[in-house]
Amino acid sequence: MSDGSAFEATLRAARAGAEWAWRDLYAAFAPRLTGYARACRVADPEDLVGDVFLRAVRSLHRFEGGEGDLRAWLFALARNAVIDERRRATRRRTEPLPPEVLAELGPAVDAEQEAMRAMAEERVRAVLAPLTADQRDVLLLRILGGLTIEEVAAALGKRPGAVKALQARALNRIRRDVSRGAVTL
Amino acid sequence: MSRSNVPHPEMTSVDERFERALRGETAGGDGDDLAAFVEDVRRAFPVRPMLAADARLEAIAQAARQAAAEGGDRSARRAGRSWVPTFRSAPAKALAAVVVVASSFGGLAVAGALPGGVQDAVANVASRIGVNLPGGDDEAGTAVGADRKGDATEMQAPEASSTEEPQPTETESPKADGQDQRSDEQGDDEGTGGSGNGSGETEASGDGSGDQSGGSGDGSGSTEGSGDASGSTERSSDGSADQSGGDGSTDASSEGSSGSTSDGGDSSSGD
Repeated sequence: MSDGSAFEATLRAARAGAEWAWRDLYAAFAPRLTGYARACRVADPEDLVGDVFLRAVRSLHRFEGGEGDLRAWLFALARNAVIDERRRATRRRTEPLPPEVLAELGPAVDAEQEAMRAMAEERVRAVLAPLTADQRDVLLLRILGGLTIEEVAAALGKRPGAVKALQARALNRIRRDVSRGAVTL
Repeated sequence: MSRSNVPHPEMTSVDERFERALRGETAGGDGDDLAAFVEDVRRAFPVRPMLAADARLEAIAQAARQAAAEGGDRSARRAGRSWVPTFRSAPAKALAAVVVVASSFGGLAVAGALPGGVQDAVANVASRIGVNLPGGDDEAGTAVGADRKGDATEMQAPEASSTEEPQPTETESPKADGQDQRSDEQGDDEGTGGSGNGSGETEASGDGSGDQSGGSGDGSGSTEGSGDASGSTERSSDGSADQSGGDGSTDASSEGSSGSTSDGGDSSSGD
């Protein structure tokens, strides 16, 4: 969805409630949003992304802008949904699924691939742990969301200069920790 | 350019390396720690096909159809929206009801114009919070009305002398503060409590109404403030003008606060 006129047509159709337009938008943005939600340790990332799109449906009449703006807006909605989810999680007690139910669900992907992914996730979480929440958000939105500095600024409600500073501090912190051997990549 | 605006060479280098890693121009295998970090993040949270996408898309499409259908209604509602504020939350509704009732009956209570039993009850309740209201008897109401008339005269002739007789028309000078105590002492000394107090408190009521109209800007509040101060004058047999003035100011301030509360209710409803 890189063609500007095609995006405009899709957006117009989405505002009019066309199902094909929402399918296109979902296909274009949902996977990245899900990756971001997963990185934010949301219990059910795909469910959260579904909620994000429902929020977008209700508020699209207020949205104005191009594709980059829409991406920033959707990630801002996702970030708000993550914050809501965390608030709810602190009030809600969760029961772990019984082993037999887990066995029925089965592995979602190839076991070896999943093991590699889990190891990478562990390393990434160790690297991100010392950062502030804002620094983490900036890096995740840039890497997983594919957002530019300006789009991250729009999503976080900050100035681009502030986002640049957050990114620079985060990257310097990571390099320092790696060089000290505090974390490994 | 200030020194803080000059990009640090090391920072710029880090940013550039990060940007290159984001674009996929460098790899973690090249020994670049930032590129390795970007790769790890992407590996840890890969872009996967969505599970149960059809069910979610169906819900989204249904919501979109509904939103599109409501879109026309929403714009029509917006066009036809009246200026009357709407109170959406329960506390705002309750607050609005209290303000309406208080503003409707407050003036009547201060004027002593409520039915006898109700007036007594309201006066009893008000006296507990330090506000003197006339009782249910007719005389109080009549006297308050007379005093209010005096206040009105005051407003029309601010330059009248305030030093002589306890005539309502002469006691309303804006510089009556200094005269307040003097006329009170005069009333006590001479034993003509009724008329002396009347003049002193009439001055006090002038102060009260002035303060209140400045504070709240509410027409009804201003009337209540002056009426209350006058009413307390009438009821006190030999009460000092200070006390009466205090009643007036107390009432004025309470009206002011209720006015601001009312404003808050409006604004919250607007939100």
